[in-house]
Amino acid sequence: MEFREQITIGVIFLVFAYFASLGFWQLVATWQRLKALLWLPRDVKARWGYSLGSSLVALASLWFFGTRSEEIFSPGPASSEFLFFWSAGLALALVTTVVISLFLDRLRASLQGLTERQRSHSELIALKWLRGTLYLPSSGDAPWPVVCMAPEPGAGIESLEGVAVGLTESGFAAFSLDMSSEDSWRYPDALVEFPQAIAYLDGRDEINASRVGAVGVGLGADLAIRAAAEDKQIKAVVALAPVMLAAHVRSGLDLLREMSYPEAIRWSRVHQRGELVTRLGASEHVSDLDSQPLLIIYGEEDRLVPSAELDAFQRTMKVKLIPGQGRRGLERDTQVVSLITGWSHEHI
Amino acid sequence: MVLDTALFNLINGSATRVAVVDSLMRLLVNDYFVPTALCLLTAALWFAGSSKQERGRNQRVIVSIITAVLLANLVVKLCNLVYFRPRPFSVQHVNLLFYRPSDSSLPANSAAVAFAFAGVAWQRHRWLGVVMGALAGLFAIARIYCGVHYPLDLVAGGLVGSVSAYLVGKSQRALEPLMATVIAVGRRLYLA
Repeated sequence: MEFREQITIGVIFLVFAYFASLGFWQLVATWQRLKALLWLPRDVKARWGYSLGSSLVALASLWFFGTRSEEIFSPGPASSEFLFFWSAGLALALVTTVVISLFLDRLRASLQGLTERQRSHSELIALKWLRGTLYLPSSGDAPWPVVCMAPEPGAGIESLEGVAVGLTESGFAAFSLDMSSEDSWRYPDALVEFPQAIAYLDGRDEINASRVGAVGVGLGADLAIRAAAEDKQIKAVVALAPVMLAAHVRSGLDLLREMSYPEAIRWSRVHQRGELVTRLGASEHVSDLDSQPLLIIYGEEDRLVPSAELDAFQRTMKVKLIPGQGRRGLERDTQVVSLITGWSHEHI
Repeated sequence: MVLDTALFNLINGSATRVAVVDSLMRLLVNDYFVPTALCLLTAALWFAGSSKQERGRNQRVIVSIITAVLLANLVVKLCNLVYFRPRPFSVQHVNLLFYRPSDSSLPANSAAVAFAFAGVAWQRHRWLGVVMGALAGLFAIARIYCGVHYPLDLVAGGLVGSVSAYLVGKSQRALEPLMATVIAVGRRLYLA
């Protein structure tokens, strides 16, 4: 048999391995709830994920074993050659899976953001020393109380648009800090983000700066707790999935359960640099918040904070667990948005 | 050898009688179906486990499987250098349902590889070992049924695979640096 023919059979097998592996990755993503690899939305029942994965494997097998008998029953790649083509198919399918998952995730987020933007009146703030978006209520009398918000590192300001819309509809202004660049997370520079935002809001006529709250997501929540501990102008804090302890900074597969591949890379970079979690010391500064009520919210399926740790937090702090939610996307959950608006109404 | 040929004639002699069985055996005998199933099961094991420690143990099994498969392959290649047994279709009339491989019939490379998979899996996860062992067994029977191996070739191949798996199982300490490196690379890529 000619070398060329063997290569042809190898390539046909590679195509089969690639499509079967696409299904395999969907089965693994559903089984292990790997957000970074899932194509279907996370809230869709697992059986749909298994069905999608199995169908892809079955279709690829039907095509290969059902229609390529001439190639199958000719000498082709065996042993190490077989492993080479199979591994190449698996790796190519992994890259495709990550890219498709990322695209679909962004598409879903932008569709949701589009709806939220249509419901909000926002103003982009781009000063030399402060960047962010100010959301103002469309009705009611100014000056409005304000909630200052810090997103997770790497997440765009649009990630908090749902919370901002919820707050403006409840009569609060909301200011979402733009901390999308990794530079904003250098220590100690990150510590000035909240004070600078509050100073800016103090100068706005339509804002009542004597009624300020803070909301943060992930490391942004650690920053919000630290900011409130040092600035008593902040009346109340809501911390969404704060990292709290350096031990919660996970690596490897655990991250793909909670975030997309690029987010996992960014998370690792930010969390390695400067040991921000330890330096922000949110868990130590919680005790400085005597007069500033703190609500901590975690998704019940958060894979980064061990459940034993959550139990310990629950004994000492006001912690709310959201069923069926992980870490990422927690800020978009309607129950979380209503908890934030309720907490703000009660304490700001 | 007489018993080997008699057993071969018995199994291969029943080929071409029932079309459904022939189709099933043609599916099992090829170089792709069982190896792909074994590889997919192995790849799935990489992700199994609720904690990092449990996953680490499973990932070590996979490194062991790959090592055992490579060792089994090497032993088969060495055997082929010193001994050549003609395929059944080269020396007698057979019901051939597969192409004509040109390498030595004994030991069967296919069985060596499949039983290396099953042997390592059996040492760590009995259920996975049973599933992989069943696939390896079916693969072996199909090779005889379709006329490309004598039973003794598959017994020898199975033995090579099982002994490779056993030796790898006994060399865990020596393999630890390799396993740790593979897992570390996996973690760096967020895949372990």
